[in-house]
Amino acid sequence: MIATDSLHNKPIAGALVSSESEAETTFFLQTLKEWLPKPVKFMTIDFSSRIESGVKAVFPDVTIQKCIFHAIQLLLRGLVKELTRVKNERYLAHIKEWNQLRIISINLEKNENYELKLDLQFKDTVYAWNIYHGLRLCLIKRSPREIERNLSLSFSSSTFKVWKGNVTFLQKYENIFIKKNFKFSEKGLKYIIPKIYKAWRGAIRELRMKLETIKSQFSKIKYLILMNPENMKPYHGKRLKKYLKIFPWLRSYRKIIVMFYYQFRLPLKKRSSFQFLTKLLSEYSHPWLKSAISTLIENQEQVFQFKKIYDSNPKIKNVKSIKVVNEPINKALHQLFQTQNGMRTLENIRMRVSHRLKCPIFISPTTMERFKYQTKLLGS
Amino acid sequence: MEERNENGIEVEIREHSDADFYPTMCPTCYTSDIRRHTYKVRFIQDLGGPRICRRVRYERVYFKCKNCGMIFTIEHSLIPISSKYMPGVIEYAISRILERGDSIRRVVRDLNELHHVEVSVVSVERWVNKHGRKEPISSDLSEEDPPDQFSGFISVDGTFKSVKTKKNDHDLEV
Repeated sequence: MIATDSLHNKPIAGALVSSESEAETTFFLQTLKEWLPKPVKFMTIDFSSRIESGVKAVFPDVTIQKCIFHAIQLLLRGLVKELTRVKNERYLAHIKEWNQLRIISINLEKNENYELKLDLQFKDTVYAWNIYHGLRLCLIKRSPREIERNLSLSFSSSTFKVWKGNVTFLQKYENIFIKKNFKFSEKGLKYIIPKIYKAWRGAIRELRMKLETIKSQFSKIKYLILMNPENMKPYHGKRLKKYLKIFPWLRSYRKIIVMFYYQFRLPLKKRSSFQFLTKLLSEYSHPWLKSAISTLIENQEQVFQFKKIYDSNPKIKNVKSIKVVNEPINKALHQLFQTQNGMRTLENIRMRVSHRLKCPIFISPTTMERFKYQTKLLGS
Repeated sequence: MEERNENGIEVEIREHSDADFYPTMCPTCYTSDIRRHTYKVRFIQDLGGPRICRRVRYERVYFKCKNCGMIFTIEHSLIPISSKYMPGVIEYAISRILERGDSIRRVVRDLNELHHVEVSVVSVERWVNKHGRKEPISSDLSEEDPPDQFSGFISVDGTFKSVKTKKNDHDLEV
């Protein structure tokens, strides 16, 4: 755990603790309270309830600010989960169904007695399957003339004309006779029938590929709609517009996200409650999104606490670090642990971390006990 | 200063001698009747560049007092006694490892390849431990000085890192 002076943006002290529990937080804050020369007035923390209860136990009168970086992160993580769920539901399941159709059709052609288990959810896959079924009924006939007549009848039917894959199918069908020069005869049927089925599979492959393109476009827009309008470059805006035309139903998401970001710029009196975020929820929403929104609504007063401080202390109005916890320090620590391939002894950790962060580091008694125990176990 | 070229790398040799700081009196009998007794030459490695290799030719002079017969040496202001490396090399390695968080092996590789200082990982590890690991492990801040300019605004955050213990580490069995 690391405590940072928010105004000077410098780490003050850190502690190696065994977990981010309430007891460990209390120990850290109590030590800090006894050591610091001045009382603590204002504290910025993340959304961890254990840290919050530790802070309340040691500093009951302190004003708590919930980090806005973590607030945004909380919502965005929930939304990423939600959009992935939507992607899986709309596109991945659909693509899977197309693949299922392909495999079943091949198995049916190989083995007439193949046990058919089909549970199709999407309209176009059902439609394509009906077309295939129609083709099979035509191709079951024995006489080549009859097959040819039945096929031409079915191609001119309105059901076939409405099918999205008809153009591709007909192109491939014509190629059988033009390029390969096959003719409807007793001998030719042996070659023509498999090629007709193959043409149908070619048509559904094209439909599946279109869907895959849409899926990849969705993956791109997923991150664009989550972007803060302030951080967006002109090309981001252009791309977002382009993709919103393809996915118009995402406009409602974008509108709410922009509104959410806007709240942090508005004066305290003009800001609206986070209740508007509930519009993002539905019965099937991802649990992460549901929990993120309920946490944000519960903690909204503490998220906007910094505005009150800015209003009461105009001198610190430009100090951004009081509304966010010092995340670059965590980054520096991650980097340190990566370059050192982990740390093995407490002395080493204390030395490296305190020199890197230029602040004193102490070790909680629980951690010390755990280390001693582990060392004994390894030694024996 | 002497300069020569070896395999496209310029070797820069500076010369330092104890004779430049000739002692005025004997440290034992305080008489000024001193003569140069003998000397030893040592090459000390200094921080070079990608194309420059820097060495210091250090002449350690032993002086003899004519009055009491005492043989003594002086402490050179730039060169620590029995050091194979100039203080700048050690400072550079320590600042990169402790302050910037680079790994020891990377710093050793850079020293060997970019600065033309031949040094082993163990030597650098020893420098780091000597300069960094001084205080014993403490579970409070009683021995530390509190910050001078504390604003009263703090932020507290935690990060999770796994820590492994070494099998033969006996430092903690106290």
